[in-house]
Amino acid sequence: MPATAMPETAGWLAKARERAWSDFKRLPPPARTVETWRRVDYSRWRLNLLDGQAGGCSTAVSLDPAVLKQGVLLTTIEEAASRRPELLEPHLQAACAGLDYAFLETANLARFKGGAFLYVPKGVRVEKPIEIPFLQDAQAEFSFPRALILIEEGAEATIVESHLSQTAGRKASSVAFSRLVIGAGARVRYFYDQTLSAETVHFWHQQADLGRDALLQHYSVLLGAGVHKSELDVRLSGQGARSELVGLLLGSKSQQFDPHTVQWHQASKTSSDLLFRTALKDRAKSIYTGLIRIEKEATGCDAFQQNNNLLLSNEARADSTPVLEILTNDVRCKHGATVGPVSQDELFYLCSRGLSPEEAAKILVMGFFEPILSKLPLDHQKERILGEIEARL
Amino acid sequence: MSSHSFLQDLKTDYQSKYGFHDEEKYVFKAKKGLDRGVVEDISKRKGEPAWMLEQRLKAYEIFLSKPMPTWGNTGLLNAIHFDEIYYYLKPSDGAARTWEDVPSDIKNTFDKLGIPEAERKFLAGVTAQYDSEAVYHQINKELEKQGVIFLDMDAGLKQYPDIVKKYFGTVIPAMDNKFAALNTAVWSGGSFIYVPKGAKVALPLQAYFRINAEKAGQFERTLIIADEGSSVHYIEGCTAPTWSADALHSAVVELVALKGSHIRYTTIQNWANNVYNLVTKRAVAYEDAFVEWVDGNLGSKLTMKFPAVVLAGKGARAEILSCAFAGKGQHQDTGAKLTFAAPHTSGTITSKSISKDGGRASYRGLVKTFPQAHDVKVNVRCDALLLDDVSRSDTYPTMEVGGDRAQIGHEASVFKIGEEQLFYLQSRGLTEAEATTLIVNGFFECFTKELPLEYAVELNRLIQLEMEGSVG
Repeated sequence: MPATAMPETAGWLAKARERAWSDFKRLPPPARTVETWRRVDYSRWRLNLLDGQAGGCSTAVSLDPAVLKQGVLLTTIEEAASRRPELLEPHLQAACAGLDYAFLETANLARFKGGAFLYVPKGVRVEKPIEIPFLQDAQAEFSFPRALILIEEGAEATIVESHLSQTAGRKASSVAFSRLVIGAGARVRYFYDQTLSAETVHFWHQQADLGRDALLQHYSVLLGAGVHKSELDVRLSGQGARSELVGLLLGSKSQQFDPHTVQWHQASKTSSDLLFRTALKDRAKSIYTGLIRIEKEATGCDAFQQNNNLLLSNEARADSTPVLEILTNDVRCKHGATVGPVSQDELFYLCSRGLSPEEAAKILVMGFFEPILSKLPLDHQKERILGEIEARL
Repeated sequence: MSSHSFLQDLKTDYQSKYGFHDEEKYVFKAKKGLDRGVVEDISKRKGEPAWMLEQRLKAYEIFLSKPMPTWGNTGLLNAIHFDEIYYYLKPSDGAARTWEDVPSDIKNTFDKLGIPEAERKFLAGVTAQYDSEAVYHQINKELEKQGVIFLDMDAGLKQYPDIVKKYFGTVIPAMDNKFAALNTAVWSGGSFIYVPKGAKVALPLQAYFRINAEKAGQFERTLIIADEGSSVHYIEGCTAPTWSADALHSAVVELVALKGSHIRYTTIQNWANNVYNLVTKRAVAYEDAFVEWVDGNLGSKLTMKFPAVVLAGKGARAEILSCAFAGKGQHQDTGAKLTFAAPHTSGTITSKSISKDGGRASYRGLVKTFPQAHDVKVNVRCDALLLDDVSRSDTYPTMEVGGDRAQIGHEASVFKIGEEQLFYLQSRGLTEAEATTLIVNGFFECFTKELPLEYAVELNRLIQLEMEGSVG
């Protein structure tokens, strides 16, 4: 839906947005002394310049007619606010991102345009991937993508949320909030693709709540933006829920990435797995922080976390902080992290087969990313991403 | 196994074993709280050179200007009342050279702790610190012949001002953190060791630190310099009586390992459960030097201690072994830091922690490499054992890696005692309590085997003491 064809905003939403705007005006911006903002300067988003003007970001979404018949709803948040307020209200009011991000969250809520709302009712299985692309307007200085996705009990869906720039060469600030609610026994494959232009400063926050026995398979591909900061906050709140998180990050030139992940075990017998792989060229920098938290009530949990970093130049830099907070003893919990160059032995072997060192390194990096690449759900997306990675290497 | 009766023998708790305190008799006790006057007074009473007073005063200003840490257990940290603490307590006039010269009540304390026996038997030299001042000090004749200097820090400053001036505050400047600044402002006692070129100190040098007075602050300052090709092993132990008001221990330990030298620094900290133990420890390892920290933390209310090594010279090596036991009402926030600033350097960190009865053990660590430090290898391994479902374990490792020629690995796991392990041992006739104690001792084995015999025995006993009443 083009942003110009906005339906009349529901009264409750308009009020919530007004409140968010006055909160935004009142809140102090995050200070560098806050751990979350210690390594990436908040002022890069230049939100102090944000005025009454709305940000621009269009969401062109459409659904297969067959899927529509199943009762699946995909529309803008504004439209859904009038049509299905009972579905939206509980999720749009709460400040879910926490204090460290409240400033950004209120700005987004106050100034988002359109937004995407996806609703998959109870027991419905959607075969084809559902795409939610956020296209940054060429002229907009600020954009505020927002998505709300509700997957009810026993439903199944594959969702692709992508962030792309219409044109390169223009400074832009993007602040995105995405909320994913997965009902009991539902299964979701989620794909977050960030290929914004190098001039974009991007922030992304997603909170995912998993009900009883729900399954979330989550893939992040982080290739774009000049500065990227994100938090993927997965809350295993229903007994027996499971999350599998996979991430790929390729940085070059002077790109800077600050991805956080959270595996928060709030209920018993929940399990989670994470694999996050980073390769950095030139002067690129990545600061990965991952938390596994297991609450006192969450007995019989299983949690794993692995972060591997490949440094492809002497000026590149990788920071890694995998954190564990374990409040009960009936758990199995492990994490591992590595940082290093490509293996000299493997390089030597490939070169002995007649490959140039550059070609050999490229093959090794592609192999390093293989566990993530092989799982990408959309063919055209996969092709684009493969092409992008190869070109960058 | 007769560990059952052994456990019963240990039915004494911390209170009766280490919790005793002597009547407070001090030659001098500074007024409560801290101001410029207290700092000047400490320096004056010690008859220090002007440059030291200047450093102290500068550090005092830094202490005032630095905010409290915003990370870690801020709830406990902000409960420290700096105005309630006695910053300087002088128990006797000057360090005694022989055991007989030590005032009898202080001697009594150290007799209870077994210091002189240990010294007579095998330790090369002993400094015992009672509140702010070192009270007893002895060094083996053999070492004196080699030119090894082992003094308390105050005597070190008096007798070797040039060496102290050259190194003091170079490894940990007062600007480093709020507590390092506080220590620099009000430091008293600690050890000063200089090992000359090529000298090998075969037996460990030992120091013992004890807080006696209520609301006392202990701010010892230790400086160890191992000259080229030398080697030394230093051991320190710490206890305090259980007072109702909290005490503060905030030490600064600086190690300088010059070319080809080897320093091993062993700590067994068993402060009472109302002592804040906020310590800054750092070593600089120059070319081909080897530094080891062996760090055991059992007591205290809150310990924040992250022994660090800066690998500043080609071929330098570091090993840090950190071990923590967090019982009821305790937070052991411990770990290690390695900074690689030179090529062909390597390091390992091994951390073991146990949490019990609602205690919290946190590993906090840093591995940092600079781009010029190529061919670096680092390995970090953290294991945490949770003995019940009310305790907590955290792991906060940070890796900051610049440059593409460093190989860094980190691994951590959190687990409980396996039912199969317990079942197997019980099927061999052990009670559940004995089996648990055995497994816990085994878990710490990589640590205890690095300690001299007396300390290993002591540690095993302490663990048994802590484990008492843990099952059934």
